[in-house]
Amino acid sequence: MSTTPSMPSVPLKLPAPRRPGGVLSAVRREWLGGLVSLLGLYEIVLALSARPWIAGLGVVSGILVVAAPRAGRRMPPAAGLGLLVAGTVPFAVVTWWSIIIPVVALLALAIGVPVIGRRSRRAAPERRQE
Amino acid sequence: MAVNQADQPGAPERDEKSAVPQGQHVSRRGILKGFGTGILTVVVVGTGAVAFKGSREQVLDYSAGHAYDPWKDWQDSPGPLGMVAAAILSANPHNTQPWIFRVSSDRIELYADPSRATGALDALGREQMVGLGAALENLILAAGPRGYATTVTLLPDSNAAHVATIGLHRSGQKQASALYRAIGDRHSNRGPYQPAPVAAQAIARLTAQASDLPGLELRWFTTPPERAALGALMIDAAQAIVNDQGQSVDGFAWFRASEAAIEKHRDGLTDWGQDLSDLITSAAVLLPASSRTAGDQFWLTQTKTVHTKTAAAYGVITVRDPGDALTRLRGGQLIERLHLSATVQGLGFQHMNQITERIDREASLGQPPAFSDRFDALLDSPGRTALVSFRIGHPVRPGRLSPRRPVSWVS
Repeated sequence: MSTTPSMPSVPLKLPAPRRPGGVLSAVRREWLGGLVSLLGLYEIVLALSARPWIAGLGVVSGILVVAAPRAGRRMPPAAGLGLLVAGTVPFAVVTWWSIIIPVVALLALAIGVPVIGRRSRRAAPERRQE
Repeated sequence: MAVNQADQPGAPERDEKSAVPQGQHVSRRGILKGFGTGILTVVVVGTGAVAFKGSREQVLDYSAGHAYDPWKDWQDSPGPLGMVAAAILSANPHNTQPWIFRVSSDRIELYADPSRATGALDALGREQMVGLGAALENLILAAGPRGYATTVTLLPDSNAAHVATIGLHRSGQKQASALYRAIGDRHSNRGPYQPAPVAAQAIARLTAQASDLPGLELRWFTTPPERAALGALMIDAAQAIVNDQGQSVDGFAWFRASEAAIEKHRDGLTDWGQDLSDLITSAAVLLPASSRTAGDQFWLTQTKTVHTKTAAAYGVITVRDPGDALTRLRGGQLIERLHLSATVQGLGFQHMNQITERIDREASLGQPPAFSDRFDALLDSPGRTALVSFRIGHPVRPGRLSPRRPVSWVS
């Protein structure tokens, strides 16, 4: 039996391997959030042709929807969802007859609520560590 | 022994969001997830295409375009050009705006623009002349508020297109009548009217508008049997126009199906001008433009289910000779006054001339006068016949603006 002294085990902290699919993975991760933001841009584009006060409401609503997916990572889930609801519901109610705004709002909610909820759950431990 | 690759050093990390380990086989869950994301992407991109069209068609405010600016600033323009700014807002056939104004400091000459005729739909030029008479009325109404008195000469020379000369004299005082103030609020209302009847006093006030216009009388159809009989004739006339390809084509030529066409031409009929609900109109402008035949069927359906069904009363201007140019001009003045007076009284007003359009079409083609005989029988006014007709009632919603060419385009 050999008695070769064993080397003391040194915990090595190696840099994380650079994943070839990193960009693809990021795109995948952000894709649905990106769709929600795109819907927010639609609101802004539509609002630009409206009467001043509706246009104002529409632009603010659109900005909230654009920001909601990213905000969901940094804020508690309720706040992220609040942004999304505030960016969709009032504008859709005021312009209910336009068809397209309520459709955009429904899509933003349908995609955005799960996205923001999931991100908030994922980000919660990170927030606690900070 | 099965080895979990993810536990091996150097194994690709499992993407938190993805159910599929990097570089490994794709799981069923991953496929479903990717499929769902793909469908959502297609739906969002498709919604974007509709949203872009909605923005281009100004679905949130149809009147934001420059084609509607003349309705907003017509009272601000002083002098003779300000009078023209009021004249271009008058009622006219199919919103063709068939006018040209020659303006100087002491007179305005009003000419017909022959390039803006509606062809087989106005086979004998009756409606165009009536429309010019309406513009003339607004010119006269707009003189007082700008400190002018007018001297009007109708058909001043042998040039048939030269409709009127309006001489301008400083009066020293500015006075605006109720009819003048209603010019910017006057819109044809093609939407539904409420079942409530129009009060007798309101009809009397309308009738009084004809008092100083010689040769013109008003025949009212207010009782249910009268309205039903005239309504049925209007539906038959609408059907005949739809069946007549020449009239259908010439009418459709003045339909502006997109915001781009409205801004380019600033005339004609539009989806918004049909006075449907906001919801239905939004759907109409978001969908692809309708064909001529679809537009015809829509008009026919509206005539049956809205225009005739909800009319509280019909009015017909009757004359001895509807072919006389002077009579047509005065008839145009009267129809504009009636429309403005109805506006002052909060009444909806829609010009409905399909019967006379058929009468003139039949005459121009040498066909038997089917509609002429039926209309005369309903009018029951010996020696008199119809010049133009309209319906009134309490509107469910206000009439919408029609596009207008600015003063600079017509003077």
